[in-house]
Order: sequence, then structure tokens, then C-alpha cells
Amino acid sequence: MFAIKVYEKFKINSEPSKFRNIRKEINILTNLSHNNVVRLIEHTETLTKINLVLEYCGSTNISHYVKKKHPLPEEDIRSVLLQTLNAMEYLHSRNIVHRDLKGHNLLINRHKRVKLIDFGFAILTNKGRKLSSVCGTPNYMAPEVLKNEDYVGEPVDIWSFGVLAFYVSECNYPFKAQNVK
Amino acid sequence: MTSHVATNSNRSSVVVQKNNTPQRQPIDRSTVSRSPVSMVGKAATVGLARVSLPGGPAIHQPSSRAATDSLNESKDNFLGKYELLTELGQGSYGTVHLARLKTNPE
Repeated sequence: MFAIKVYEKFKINSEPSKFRNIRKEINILTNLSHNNVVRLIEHTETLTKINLVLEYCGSTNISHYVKKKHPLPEEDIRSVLLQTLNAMEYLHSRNIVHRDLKGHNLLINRHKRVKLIDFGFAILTNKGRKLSSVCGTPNYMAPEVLKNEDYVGEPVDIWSFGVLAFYVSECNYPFKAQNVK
Repeated sequence: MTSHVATNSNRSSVVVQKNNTPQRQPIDRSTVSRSPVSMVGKAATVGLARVSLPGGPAIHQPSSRAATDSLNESKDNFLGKYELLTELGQGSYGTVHLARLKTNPE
């Protein structure tokens, strides 16, 4: 089974930066191979579409999973978080920051295998390099990102992981934000 | 400095535009893993021909096949070898479909 992500070009045409970001997403995914990270099988482009053929990782994301099963047994909480950490450690060891780590971007299959998806905000960085794009999801965003400051990549993912750990345990967010204002 | 904020809800990913720098707009991630909602195959509507991306650096592809061959493949739809099943999610830039290989039905 696969999940095919289809980008409609007519929806992107007005935004050249979006093209660059899709190319970046493909580039990053192409070079990744880890049990807790979605695999890109192949990609192609037609006149009207960009297609990413991705490994199918299950139909449930962690956010829905937690909502459905709260309270999760401690064993499951540990398993979900450990698998997420494995994915993060792998990415960070390759100088890749995900920048949108959250329950919705972690899929879980019936064998309880967790996989990180959606590398639309991911970036290849260098140790200590300052980033400035404010991206992510408000409830999961680190303060320095919300404050519109320059930030180093890895700690931002680690902050989001902290929020995730809270969410998986409590089915609630430690901090709530409607938007970045 | 003023910031332009683009967001749909607190669950959607956002991006803020600073100093008129072009920034990405998010596909709505909150829908990507939604349960299947229909069984309509959509293979017939996908794709006309393969072309390379306009401008920009070529993508290095050791394991993932890039389709940059030619324009005369209007019938050779790359998705032809995949059978699209349900739609898994809708985003602002497109959709995610469940699919399988036609030659290797599971």
C-alpha cells in the first residue's frame, strides 16, 4: 500500500517559493531511511501535478489515537514517545530539523509502529545555524519561534516533542494558541 | 516590523511572512491522515505528461525516480501502475490518496 500525495500545480503557480519547498521536501525525504520516518518511494511530475509516492503508514494519527484511547497505558505512551525520539535523533544527526512535529504528523499503524510524516517545513541546516521562518503549529511552537526571533533548529523540535509528550499523556495541550499573534 | 499570519485553525500548520520574504504556505496537515471517505478511483484524472520542474536545481535522486523524460508521454501516466483507492486527505495544494500497485494487488 502507498499514500500518494498529489500537489496541484495550478494551486501553486502563484507561489514560486512553494515549488522550491516541494523540491526541498522531496530532496530531504529522498535521502532518509529510518523505521520511524515515512519513506518516499518515488516521485514524478506531470504538466499539472507533482506526485509523491510515499510509504503507507496507517490511517490514524497520534492526535486522533490519543483522543480515542485516552488515557493511554503507560507502555503505549512510552512506545509512542520513544519511537518519535528515534525519528528525531535520526533527523538531527543528519542536520535535518522537522519544524512541524505534532500529533497530526505522526501516524500509527495497527502494529503500533509510529512514523513521522510531512516534511513540508523540514530544512537541512548546520550546527548552530540561525533560522528565521516562523513555521509550525501554534500549540507546538517554541517561544522563540512565536516571538518571531531567530532560532536554532533542533531545540524547536525538542520543544514540540515536550508538547507532544504532554499531549500523549494528558490528551490536552500545556499551552494553547489560536494563532501566532 | 509587521507580520502576515496565515492560519486556518489552531491545529493547522502556519507560516508567517516577514519582510516580504516569500514563504511557504502549508498544506493542511490536519486532514492528511483522516479516515478514508470514499472508494472512488481517481487514476483517470491524474497527470498528462512528464516534464521537468521549471528552473531551479535538479533534484538528486539516488532511490526515488525522477520523471524528467519527455513531453510525449501523455498516455504514459506514471500513476498508471498505481491504482488509487480512497482519498486520505485534502489540503490547500492537493490531496493524498491511498494507492496500491496494479500488478501486485494485496
